[in-house]
Amino acid sequence: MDNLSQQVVVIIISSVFLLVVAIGIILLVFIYQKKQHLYVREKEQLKVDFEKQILESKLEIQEQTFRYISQEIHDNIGQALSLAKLTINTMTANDPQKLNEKIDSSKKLVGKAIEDLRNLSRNLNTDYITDLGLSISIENEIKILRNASQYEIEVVTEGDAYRLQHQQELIIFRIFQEALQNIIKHSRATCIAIRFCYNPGWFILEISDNGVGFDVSILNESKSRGGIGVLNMRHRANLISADITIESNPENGTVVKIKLPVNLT
Amino acid sequence: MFRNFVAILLEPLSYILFSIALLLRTTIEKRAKVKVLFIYYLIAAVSFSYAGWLVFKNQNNNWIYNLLYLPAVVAICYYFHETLYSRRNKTIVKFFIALNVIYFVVRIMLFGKLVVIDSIAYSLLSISVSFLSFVYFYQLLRNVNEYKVWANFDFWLISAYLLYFLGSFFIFLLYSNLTYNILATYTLEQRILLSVLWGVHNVLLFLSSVITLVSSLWITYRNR
Repeated sequence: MDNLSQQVVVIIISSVFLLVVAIGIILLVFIYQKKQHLYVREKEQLKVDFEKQILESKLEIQEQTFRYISQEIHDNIGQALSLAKLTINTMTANDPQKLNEKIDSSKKLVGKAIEDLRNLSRNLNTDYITDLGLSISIENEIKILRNASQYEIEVVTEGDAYRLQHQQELIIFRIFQEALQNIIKHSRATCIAIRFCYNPGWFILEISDNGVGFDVSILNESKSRGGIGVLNMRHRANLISADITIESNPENGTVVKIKLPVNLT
Repeated sequence: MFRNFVAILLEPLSYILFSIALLLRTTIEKRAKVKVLFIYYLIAAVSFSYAGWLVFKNQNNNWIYNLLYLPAVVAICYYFHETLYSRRNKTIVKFFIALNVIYFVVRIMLFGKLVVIDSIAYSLLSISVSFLSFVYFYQLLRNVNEYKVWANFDFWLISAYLLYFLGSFFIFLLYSNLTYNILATYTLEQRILLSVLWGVHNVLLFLSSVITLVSSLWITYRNR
């Protein structure tokens, strides 16, 4: 009898133990699943926020492009054609020599307007850029700059060159154009150095000048023109998950570096 | 009185609660797995009510337990088969069904009708259901979706099964052995001790039936 009661007690204790183990397992599953659920929701929210940011960046870039077109048309093409019209309006048949001069002047102005329109079209044509590739497109830009100005431009290539994805090349080219515009407008530089670094794990494009430099902290003010330009460069870099850094000191020049992780497999 | 209630009446009451929970479930979920389980619990409720009545008449009711072993295996394992996703998991379910069926057939051929409850059969069923419960939880954790786990009836039912079958494993395993040991003397005190042990089993069964019924009610009325 005592033996039986002992056995019954042991069995009951064992059952209670297994019951507690079962409750523990169920609670663990419940808590872990809840955490996983929360994690999945947070991940979804991050994805939504990121996509919203990408969309905002794309719209901002689109607006900037429209502003650029508007500015080009107003400043260059519009001016040239207005001047040509003025010249034509003042033509008289009384003075043949002056008439010939004015005809030549009008022809030059119209020719400049056509050339500016061609350049604008070429700049906006993404197929042109993706067909040639990034390095050749940049070299063409440099050739135009060399012909039009007195910059001393050095181009260095490290590693074996490879092609990036079309969108990546296009966006990096636009960032390069923006950086070049900033050098021309603000830096008062005489030398520009461009470095291509082709690495199996990442691609680097570095644009440096020996200009006056600037205080990098003003870039944080989004209302300044410089701030907006750099913000657009950062937005473009974000679209392709590239990293962009700008180092500058007054009187020490500026270095703009774009680093893009690549997967060559 | 209380001891009689726990040792005898709590069991059929638990199966009635299971039947009600699954009947409620069939109003929402039209799948066969719920209907099969409902039919099993309905039959079990009637059978164990009769088994309780046999106890009051001092007659052997162990044959009812031995008879209902195979339907329990088929109904519960079928539910798991329909709840688990991958082919590997379904194969595991089929393996356990085959194992239990083979044991049942071999036992009948070798031993014929038993006078005591078939401990090995119910222990095997406990191991099978406990293992399949773990397989289900593993599947649950591998496939996170937007639906909350506490709004899932399968989670509550299988949790209830784990509590009952794992908690009762040692009771199933040793009950027939204990019964054989006291058959020679079979005093009142010995029968009371065994009924206490079976009462613990019934409490676990009742607990799992309450969890199933409450979850079924809550999920049903929450969805409405």
